[in-house]
Amino acid sequence: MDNSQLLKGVLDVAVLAVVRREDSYGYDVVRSLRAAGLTEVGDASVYGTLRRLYANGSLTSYVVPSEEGPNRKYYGVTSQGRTALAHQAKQWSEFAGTMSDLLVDAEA
Amino acid sequence: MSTLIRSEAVAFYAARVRAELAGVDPDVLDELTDGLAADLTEALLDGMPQDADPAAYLTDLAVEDVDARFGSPRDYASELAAAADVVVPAPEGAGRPRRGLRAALADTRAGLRADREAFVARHGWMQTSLEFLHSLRPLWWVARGWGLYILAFALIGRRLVHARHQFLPGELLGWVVLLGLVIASVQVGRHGLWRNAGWRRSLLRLVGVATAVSALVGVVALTSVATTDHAAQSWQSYEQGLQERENGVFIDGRPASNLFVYDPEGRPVDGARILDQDGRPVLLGMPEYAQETWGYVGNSGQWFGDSFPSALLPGGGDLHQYPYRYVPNSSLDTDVEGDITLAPNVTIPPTEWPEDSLPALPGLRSDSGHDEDSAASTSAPDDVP
Repeated sequence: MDNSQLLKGVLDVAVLAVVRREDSYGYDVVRSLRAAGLTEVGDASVYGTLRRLYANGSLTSYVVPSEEGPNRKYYGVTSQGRTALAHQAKQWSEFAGTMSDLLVDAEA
Repeated sequence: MSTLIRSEAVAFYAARVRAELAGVDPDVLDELTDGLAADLTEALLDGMPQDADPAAYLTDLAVEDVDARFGSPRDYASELAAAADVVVPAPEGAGRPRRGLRAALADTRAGLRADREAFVARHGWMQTSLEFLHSLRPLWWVARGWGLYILAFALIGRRLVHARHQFLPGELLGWVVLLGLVIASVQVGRHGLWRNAGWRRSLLRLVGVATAVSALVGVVALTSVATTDHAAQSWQSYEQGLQERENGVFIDGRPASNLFVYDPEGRPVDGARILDQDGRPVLLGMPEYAQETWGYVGNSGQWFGDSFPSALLPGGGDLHQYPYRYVPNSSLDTDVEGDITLAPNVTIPPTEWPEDSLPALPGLRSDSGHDEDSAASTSAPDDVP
């Protein structure tokens, strides 16, 4: 299974985590994810996820004027988003622990 | 890093992605693709060779390069929509134009209604007159009931009721029917009928129009009837009948219903027969005409006022014998064969002469001889019919 399949399930969490660390615009988030090691993630998926999180209230947005380029729309996490992120992060670590235990003999 | 330099290829790519998402709500579409060109450009610049000039790099970009980097616009669009949980409406080939037409019609109707309301609002007088007309609606309901009566009568009642009662009932049943229809019409006006049904409403509207027309006709007819002189009109029809038959005696344009002969001494001559220059009897209305009107009399109509020349009765004499003896309609009867007879035990009333006698004319004698001064013709008529 390649990472892209895995990523679909956790893109929400990953994006939230990135934006929580620092308010970012679209490509910014892509860059951050790639830098963290998620090279398989598609740009379009990130942008779509950002919009979905914004639509369900986990993210807020504001426009920042720029002299170097066009005005960019920045995303930031809302309190609802923070709560969701904490909840999902807990779930993820539990899941990761379970999987690790399960697979402890597989690598051998 | 500056992204102010626009790349034609990137712009084209972004436009194609937007096109793939046509049909999505415009606000959602904007949120999805607002920063797309900028994001694409930045991504491209990230992959730029280290020593390259950004401006030159961007402007030199070909469409295929962009497609190769990001995949086909269609795939990009579907990935974008999927991640955003946005459903892209499938383009319907024939459906879209139809939706457009319906939407256009709805817009036109809304626009027209808005225009009409704005127009009425601007002209306040129109508003008040509309309100006035609206308050007259009960009157319309009554008129509608009456119109229905007229319509109903025209369609079915002609054989049941005399034609005279075409617009207003003459007997109790007619009044009951008219009242019932008026009440029904008012109730329908107050409470409505079949408010929602489509074809039934159209049928009701059609009936409404028909009754309105017939009510209008009724109003016109009644006013013309009320304003006519009945006596003159009956004379007129009698006169018309005579003119059609080309018979009758007219004094000052009015037909005579009787002739009275006086001799030179001024004495009344009863039973005088009058002939014209060709020996034809002078008649006041032809017998055939009388036969027709007899049928009319049978249906409680009238002719000659309320009476009937006795000459038309069997054995009653000749129609060119004057004066006519008039028999009132009430004294008439029908015998077994359907012919007109005098009712039993009825006598024909004596005729009233306009003058008991006239002054004697000088120079004329009552005997059969003629004075030579007389202007009357001395020769006997050629033939007597």
